[in-house]
Amino acid sequence: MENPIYIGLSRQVALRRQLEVIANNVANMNTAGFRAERTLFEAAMERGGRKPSDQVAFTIDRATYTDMRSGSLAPTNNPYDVALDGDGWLQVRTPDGVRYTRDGRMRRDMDGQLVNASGHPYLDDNQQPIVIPSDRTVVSIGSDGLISADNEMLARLRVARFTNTQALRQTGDVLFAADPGAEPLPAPNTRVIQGKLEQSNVQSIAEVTRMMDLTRDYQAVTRMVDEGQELMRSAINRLGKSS
Amino acid sequence: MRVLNIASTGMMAQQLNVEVISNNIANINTTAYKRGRAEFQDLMYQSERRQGAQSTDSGTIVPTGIEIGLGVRPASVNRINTTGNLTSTGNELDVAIEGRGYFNVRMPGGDTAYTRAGGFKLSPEGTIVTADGYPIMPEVTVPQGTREIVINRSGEVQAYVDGQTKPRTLGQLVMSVFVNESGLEAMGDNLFRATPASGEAQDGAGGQAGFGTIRQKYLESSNVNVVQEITDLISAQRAYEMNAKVVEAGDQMASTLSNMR
Repeated sequence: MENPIYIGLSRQVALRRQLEVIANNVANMNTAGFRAERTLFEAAMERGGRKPSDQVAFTIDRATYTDMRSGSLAPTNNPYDVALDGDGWLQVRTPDGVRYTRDGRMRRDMDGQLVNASGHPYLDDNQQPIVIPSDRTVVSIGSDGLISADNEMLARLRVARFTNTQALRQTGDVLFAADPGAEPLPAPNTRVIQGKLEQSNVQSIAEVTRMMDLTRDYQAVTRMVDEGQELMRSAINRLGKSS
Repeated sequence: MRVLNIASTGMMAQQLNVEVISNNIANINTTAYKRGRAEFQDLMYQSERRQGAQSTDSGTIVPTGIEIGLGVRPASVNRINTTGNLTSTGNELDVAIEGRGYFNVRMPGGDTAYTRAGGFKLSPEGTIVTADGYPIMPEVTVPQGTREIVINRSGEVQAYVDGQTKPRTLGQLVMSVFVNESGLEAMGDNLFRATPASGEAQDGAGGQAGFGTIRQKYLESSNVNVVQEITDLISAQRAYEMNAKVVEAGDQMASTLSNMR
């Protein structure tokens, strides 16, 4: 009897979570290297009675996943900005382990290491931080990730690729963690582009459209629950009178 | 509601973005000004359902979980230290640094500040000072009766004095470089202060390895690019509006809820 309320509730909870995911995407519209998150819904059959016809479908927001399309590459003319053209990932060493990122906003720290905005070093071919000696001026980064300064080769940015892109999860700070078992492979077809930055891949118009749809759905579900309640109330009143 | 918090982080981030852009535009004609860039990172993700959990008793594994990102945060305002255009001024006390390096300036308290704005002046005593009257270090004093001051590529200051045919060497403009220039603290008035993040100042002369060369009669313009700033401004404004829309949608959901009986 109360099933309509519970079904409505399951849908409302899911829609609310979906709005939260959209809010996070929109909030990160201008976060370099950010990738939009999506929600996956599923109708779950749950046994309400003994007969199959008594089964009821509930909404379950099954999962969130990451939209792995690349963002657009915007020129910045800053020699320490790099963008990746291809499906590769830069690597950053954090206290929690190696993380993968498309955020190429590099800078030199006080030791000359190339680090990200949180101060974690980018890694080279040998999994070591990249150090630019303080007396080097012109830093150039080739499309193969080779970093040279004043015509001397210093290191090569490590670019890795995964066969299953969904094996990467966003962990904040525009970093991705690889699932256990997912092995980073070399990415020879990914080009490194100096002086450009990959923008977030959030498509603002699409997000707004989704948001509008979602608000309507929410209202519809609410109305459905309301009407279900009304039905029940009038049934109780009428049945109560006739007895 | 969590959605309101998430969207408000977005609005605050874009507000900071606009503030940084407006400061860049305000300083578009400031000698040697370096544009700032607000940089953002996504906040942590809250796990609502762990990936890899068993979804049913039959043993199906959930391949991905539910993770809700909690919004955005400003990670830094990075100073982009590309050299601005050098513009010819014809003024012999205007010097620009082509490449890396900062001039040393002595502050009233005795501290050293660093600047790339080389629009120098002469004090009443003939000392070379910045536009605000702070002497450059080491001090260079121009003698009376000087016809012409010549500053060469390495920063050596020479003067042609009346009655003498040979130029007289007055001193040397010392330059400092830092490992991490973005770590310098801006004090305003085109001055910077060393911090633990910037590293120690390393002194040298123009043209040495790692140092820029000095160009007399030139000034370094700001490296602000109007087109880029306006584009960034429009994009920040749109992002702000979108975040406001999300707040609206979240609010609508909440009000729908409170109208339920």
